[in-house]
Amino acid sequence: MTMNLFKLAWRNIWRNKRRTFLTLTAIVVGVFAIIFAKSYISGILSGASNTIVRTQIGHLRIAHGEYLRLERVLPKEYLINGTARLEQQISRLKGIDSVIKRIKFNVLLSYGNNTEAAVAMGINPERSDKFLELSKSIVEGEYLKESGLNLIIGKKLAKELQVGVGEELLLITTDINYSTYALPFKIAGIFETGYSTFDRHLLYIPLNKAQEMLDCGDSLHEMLIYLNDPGRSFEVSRKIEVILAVDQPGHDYRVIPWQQNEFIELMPLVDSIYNIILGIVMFIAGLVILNTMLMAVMERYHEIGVIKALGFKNREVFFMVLAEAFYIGIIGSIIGGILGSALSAYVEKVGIDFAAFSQGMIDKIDLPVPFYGRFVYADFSFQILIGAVIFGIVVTLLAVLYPAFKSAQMSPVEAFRTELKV
Amino acid sequence: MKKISWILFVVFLSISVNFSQSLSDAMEILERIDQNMVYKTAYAEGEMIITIKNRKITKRFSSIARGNEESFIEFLSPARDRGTKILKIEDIVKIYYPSAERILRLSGHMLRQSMMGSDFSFEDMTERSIKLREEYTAELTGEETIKDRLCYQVTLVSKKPKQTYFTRKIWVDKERFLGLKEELYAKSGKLLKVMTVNEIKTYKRRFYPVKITLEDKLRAHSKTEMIITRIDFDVLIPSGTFSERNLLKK
Repeated sequence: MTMNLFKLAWRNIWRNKRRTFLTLTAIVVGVFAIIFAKSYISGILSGASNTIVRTQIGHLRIAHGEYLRLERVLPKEYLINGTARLEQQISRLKGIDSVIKRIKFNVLLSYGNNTEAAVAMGINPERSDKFLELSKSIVEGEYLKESGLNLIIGKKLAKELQVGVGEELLLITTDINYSTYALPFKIAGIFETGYSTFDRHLLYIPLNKAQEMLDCGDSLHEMLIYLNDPGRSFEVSRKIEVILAVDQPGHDYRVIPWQQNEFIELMPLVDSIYNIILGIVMFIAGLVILNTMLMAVMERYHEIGVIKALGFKNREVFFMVLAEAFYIGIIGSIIGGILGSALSAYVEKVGIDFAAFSQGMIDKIDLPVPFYGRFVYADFSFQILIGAVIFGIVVTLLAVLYPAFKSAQMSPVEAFRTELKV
Repeated sequence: MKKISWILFVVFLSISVNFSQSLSDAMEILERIDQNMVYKTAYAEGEMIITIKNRKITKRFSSIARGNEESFIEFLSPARDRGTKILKIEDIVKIYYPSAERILRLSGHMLRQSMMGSDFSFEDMTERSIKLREEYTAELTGEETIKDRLCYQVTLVSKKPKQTYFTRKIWVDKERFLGLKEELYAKSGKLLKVMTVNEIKTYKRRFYPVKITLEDKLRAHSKTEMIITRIDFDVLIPSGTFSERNLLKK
């Protein structure tokens, strides 16, 4: 009998193709929307965290306490000293992928009659590139060379100064002893990362030239440390603190694991805000599914009356309606799952050109962190798919519980009295 | 002796051999200061002592000026600043950086930047006294004693909304027509800079401020003391002194 019930349910859903198609569509759209919304949100969040770690803070960041406190104004004079020895000792620790050295300071740029304020970053071009990945973002000319007076500059900054590759830019700064120092640099390349934080304000020069400009020997503003396993950041940070305490007693340096970055710490909050939006998407999807399922059962009262008149028990009618909903729920969720996954995977790979979408709006937002880039990539995972499919099936079943119960309770006589609808 | 060192134009300190008459009109006070700034040329040597937090940095310089219009300043120490030269002709300021061997013409926001790490901006240097009378309306707002000297207090309000120092309060010595103190304010009313004259010397029949302190109130714990160690008036200036070629000369 149970087998026949399922067979009957299966036949039932194909009897009225138009109605089935309608309910299926509701489920497909709902599941599809949930998968894409969730992938898109995770993409934005993990993308932002990743970019911050890659470009700004590493897995661990060592800097002077005062430098960190005043970081917004980039105080030149708070440096880490004895960096050669420090680097050696840190490199010997287990699980270290690389140690990146950086100098960061405000400069004035001059080209012809144009001057602009900018931030100059001194780096070891080759070593930094594994994480910074700037060489991939060069849109004109070439990547920064290890030595010599050359620089790479953000595209928007270059545009404002009206300079091109091969031209000379004068960099002027005040060194750590408050002397004015200037050097002419040749533009090796122009980069475009899509993050306006970088493209509008930054230029990169070789580390030793940055140190020459500031007159600070081999001292640094920041050491970024990348680990093989980012999860071990706290453990490694304790080890580095021991090295620092022994090597430079009385120092005022801080070792900061990436998890303690203020923007990374903000992510759960941003995540919960997005989850509220997701919740609304799910609620609407659920409502649409509920509505169509309700209608689908309600318009079949007459037909159910006939079945009951033929001797179906209440329980059997109830399970038949539930089985129908189950079939539709599974088919719809799977189709929605496939479509949603496909689009999410595509956006994960290719990305959405946010700048084109926003028609230049994104260019006007000037965030201090690389949060929204030009491209937004989704972050699809199998869990999202499974979750959405289960959601689709459960909501479909929940939606028919009430009408299924109602129709099971109905007496055939009453059912016949309701108008016949086909 | 107009424009001995550029500082004078910030504050239009002046030398006066006249004794004070009773003046009530503020514009007249300004004019009197200007009238008293009649000197052809001058050569000066001096130092800037920049104090930031616990650090003290001394920078020595020499300066040649012709009237209000032209001046040439060269920094002599410390080593990293040696050879940095600043040429000012009318409102145009050019600076030569020996490390880069390049000349930069300063304009726009750059003029508001700190000059050589001091509390003075380039704009402070290019400003001429004539500008004050043209661009500000003056009002005599009181009389006050500054360092035992009776002073007029003159308040200037800019006619242009975009002026860096929208309001200025100047305390002018009643007898010598010399600014002894000046407060510079932004349009919001925020105090930006305070200048005080600490020492005045008499050269022949002239009064001249030789120690001036300027505090940039936007920089924490910072002040710059300007000390003139030597000053000669009416010197002969070789032709070509105020030229770009002279900036490049080693």
